[in-house]
Amino acid sequence: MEIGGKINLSVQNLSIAFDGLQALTAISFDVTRGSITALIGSNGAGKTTIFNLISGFLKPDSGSVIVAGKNLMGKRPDLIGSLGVGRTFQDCKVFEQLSVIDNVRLGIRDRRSETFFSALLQSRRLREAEKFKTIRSLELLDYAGLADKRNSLACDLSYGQRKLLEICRVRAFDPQVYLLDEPFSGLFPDMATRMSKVIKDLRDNEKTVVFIEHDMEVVRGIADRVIVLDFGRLIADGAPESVFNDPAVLEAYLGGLVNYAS
Amino acid sequence: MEYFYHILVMAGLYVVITTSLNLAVGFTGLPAMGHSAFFLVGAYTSALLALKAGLSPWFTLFLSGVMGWSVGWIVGILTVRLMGDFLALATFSFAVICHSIANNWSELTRGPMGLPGIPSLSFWNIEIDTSLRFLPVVVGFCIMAVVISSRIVSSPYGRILQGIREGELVVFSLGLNVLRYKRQIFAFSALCVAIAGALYAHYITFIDPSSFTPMESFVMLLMVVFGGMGSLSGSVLGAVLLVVIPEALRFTGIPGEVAAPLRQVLYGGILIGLVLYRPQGLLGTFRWK
Repeated sequence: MEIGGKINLSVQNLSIAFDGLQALTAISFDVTRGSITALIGSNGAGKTTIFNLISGFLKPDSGSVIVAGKNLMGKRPDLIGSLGVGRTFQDCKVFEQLSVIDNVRLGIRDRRSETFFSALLQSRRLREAEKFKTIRSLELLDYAGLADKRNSLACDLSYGQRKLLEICRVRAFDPQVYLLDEPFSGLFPDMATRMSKVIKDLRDNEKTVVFIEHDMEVVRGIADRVIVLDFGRLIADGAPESVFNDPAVLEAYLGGLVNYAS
Repeated sequence: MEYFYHILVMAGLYVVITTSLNLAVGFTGLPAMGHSAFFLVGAYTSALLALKAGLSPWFTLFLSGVMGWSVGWIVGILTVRLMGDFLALATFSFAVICHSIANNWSELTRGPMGLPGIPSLSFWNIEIDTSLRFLPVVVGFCIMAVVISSRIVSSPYGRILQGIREGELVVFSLGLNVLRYKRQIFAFSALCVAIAGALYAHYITFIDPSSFTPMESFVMLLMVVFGGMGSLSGSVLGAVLLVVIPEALRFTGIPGEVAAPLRQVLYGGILIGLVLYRPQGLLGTFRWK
């Protein structure tokens, strides 16, 4: 399904098996620029595996991923990152022993000032790049409401603040495609509102956002489109209203939840 | 007095080693346990080139740095993919291999008989053949090591290294080739340690494999951990203290044959004390959470 705009991320026929367990079977979908797509499914459905395949941390058995016309398959994670794919992690990985602002500065790439020799020379270029990084990082932290924490170590932040910090870092990296792994999990309502705002702003800036989520209310609130996985298969794909009324989805996912509850 | 200066020279050599080793171990999070190998490579490269090819010791010092860097680069290619303990084991076994090569390749290294008569460094017409004369040379190299290391640590490059220590997957996802950074810093620390080895060879003027046992790697690592991983001032302090403290044993009147094993006991005791009371080391800032 397409919702206006140009296709920015195209996943074609992605399959992978772990020791004989078929984790994903022929997953295909296209995501357009400036949209928010939710990836839902029960635990073990293969949502994070898709992210790991797109960002290059896993190699698929077959299939390909195309971002902005470039095939990413077989490339190292850092090259995929450089081609415009940024991600966050389910277990919220921040650089714990670095300051909050350094966490964000690390996201900004300025390759010429990041070499061994520029470190030795401490050239003016490096100082200017650092100045830029500091200003940009402060902007991002301010936007996420973390500016007053900039000099604390990241390990002193609360869980919700870490989630926001992770988003700040990936925004600093400024990719075209954002893969956000459960950005809302464990957030208080106040933090969740901030997170929704950040994600909606990304869409308004023509970025492509794909996020994994379990809370259907959140998905209904911000997603333009929902993709449902069940045991490694794509079982539904479309606008939230239509997907949540799809009998297959109710059976496999929402129906399953009702059964667990009763 | 000569003895006192000798202690200072040795402390200085270890400062060069620990600051650069800390870049790999403390800042990048690579548990390198084989740096005695680079100490050996540096010492033998410089000594052999000076003895057999008759090159100037200053030039062989430079060449030993090149050699240390090259060997470090190759070992880096082979090992930096390994995680944690596996990297420690792989680098340690490299130290074991180097030690046995030095011990057994008699045609080249004269094996356990060692290489006597290594030429001292000289400056204009002054032979740098006493501890007092050698001290300024070592201090010079110390300053270089500390300045270079602190520049690296405070730069964007150093920030990336620390990011790798904190979570290399994230650094990968931010478009940086983690393996390349690891190789570079591993090779750089190998270069510094090799130069320290070469300085040692031209200072003592006699080397044999017993000065470069794989256990020496643990002493280097202990100095880094003692001073504080990820703290350059800690590395300087750790090196100086762990050279000076064992020497102090000599003045307690303990006979030599007891003092030597006692040194190992001391190292072990310090390590246990650190783990229990100050896991981040003397000047380390690492916060456990």
